[in-house]
Amino acid sequence: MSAEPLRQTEPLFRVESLRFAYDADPVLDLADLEIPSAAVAVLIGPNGSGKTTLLKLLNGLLPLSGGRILYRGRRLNAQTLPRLRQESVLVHQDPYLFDGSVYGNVSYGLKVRHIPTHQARKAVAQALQRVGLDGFEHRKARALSGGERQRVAIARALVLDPKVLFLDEPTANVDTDTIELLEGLVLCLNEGGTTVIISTHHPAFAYRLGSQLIFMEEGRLVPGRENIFKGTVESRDESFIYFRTGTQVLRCPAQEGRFTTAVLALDDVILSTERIQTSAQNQFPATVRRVEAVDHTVRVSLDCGFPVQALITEYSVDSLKVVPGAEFYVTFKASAIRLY
Amino acid sequence: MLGAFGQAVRLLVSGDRELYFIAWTSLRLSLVSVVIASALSLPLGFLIGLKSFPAKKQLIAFLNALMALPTVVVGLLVYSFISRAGPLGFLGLLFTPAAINIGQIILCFPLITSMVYSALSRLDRRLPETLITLGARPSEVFRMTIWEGRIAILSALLSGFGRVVGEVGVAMMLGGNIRWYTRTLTTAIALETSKGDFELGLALGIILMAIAFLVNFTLHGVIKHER
Repeated sequence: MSAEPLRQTEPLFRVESLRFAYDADPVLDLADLEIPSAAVAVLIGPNGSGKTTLLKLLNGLLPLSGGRILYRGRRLNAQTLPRLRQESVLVHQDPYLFDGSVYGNVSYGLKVRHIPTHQARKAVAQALQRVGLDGFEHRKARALSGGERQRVAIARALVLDPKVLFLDEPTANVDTDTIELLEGLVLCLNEGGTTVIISTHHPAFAYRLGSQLIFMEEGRLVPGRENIFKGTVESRDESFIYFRTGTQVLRCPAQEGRFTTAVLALDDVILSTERIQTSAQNQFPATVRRVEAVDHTVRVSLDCGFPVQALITEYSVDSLKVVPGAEFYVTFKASAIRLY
Repeated sequence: MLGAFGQAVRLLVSGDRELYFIAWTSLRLSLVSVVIASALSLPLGFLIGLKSFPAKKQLIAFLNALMALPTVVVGLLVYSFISRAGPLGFLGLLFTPAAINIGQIILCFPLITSMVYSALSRLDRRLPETLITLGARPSEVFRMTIWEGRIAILSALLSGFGRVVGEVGVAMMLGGNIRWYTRTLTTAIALETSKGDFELGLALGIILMAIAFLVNFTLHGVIKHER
């Protein structure tokens, strides 16, 4: 029995006005951020936006310059860090493999936990199998290809059966097979209750996997500029893919492939008081749920059988009388939708 | 020169017990000094190479300055401490092998520390993070870092060994070149040469070089084999 059960409402991680600086240069300055348990949280942003630094801070590998991080409701400090260490593991971008065999690498975390050898052998074999490297135990780790090295590093993390897995840019420098394997692995781990926190600038990977997308720029959190609809392809014809999300079906441009996510930029969404005659293929009646000012525009959250957000001007808010509870039509073009 | 080489070989095969004792004294004293110095140098080199702390730059500059200490000055300094009139005179260390060890440790400690620190600071920054995220405790991080940097650390130890096995100032001033006790190859060379037996001196020099080569090859062989 766990000594301190996780309350339903308690996020796994909670970050409060976190700051981090290398020497005097501020690298990270985050407002509040929560990551729920069993999420697949994806940090997206350009190089140098602070994604890696945030992952390392959450893993307790770097000291904070200010603010605080709560793990399972408790502030990270010398007393609580060992638990986080025990339960989480980070896989670096272009991981460091120890000189020696694949077995030596993958079994390392078990060795420092004093797991008996026969148990370790079995666990290592299983972990290697999960990453598609069965029988690689005796290969020289550093002689492997980029994709294989990445897989060894992931096996080295998986063998510890972590509750939280941090993956830093796992799709960088690896082949498409490894990316596919990674996607399957992340989803499988997540079904098993593991929280996976990934940094990437690979949008397709992020959109397909992420249950929570965290956008970063220049060390700050920025609001997402896209609607992300999770769903399934219901049917296809020559012109469209019919993508079901919530209680509605979206018309999306016809294309080959399997898709689980539709992405639509916030400023591609048009609000109107009446149904309009237009070439746009998607039009739904919607109710305004929330209206919030963001810089010089206004972000409107609506419900049209699925949640959708639109970015409009203050002028439009006033002239159309956009207030919570008001009824509108939401319109967007099929070609504005990207499928992943 | 050829004559000296011939004499060196003759000395070695003749089974001269005194020669073996002198060579063994040189080897033993140098190895003991390097082992003791590295017990201090490895943790300190690890600390300087991988951690940040106040006055780190000053410490590095100080170690670099110590590297340039002339052996005779070290001999003189230690002598003034352990001679009968010195503050540690009561220990009776002067003209003993232990006195040579003290001098040699002071000679090779800054060199080994500097080389260890520069070797470890060149190690991949991801190494300590990888170890920590996989659950290694600080002592294990230290052990594994030394292991991953073992080739460069070996070079540091061998340089330290080279510095002490070939020096004569400390061995002469603190050991006193006492027969069957503190006579080393270098002090024997100095003695034989000053006595005019230049060829014997040269022969001893060749043996000294052979020992240095042998130690280098052996340790490198061990490390290569491990890989």
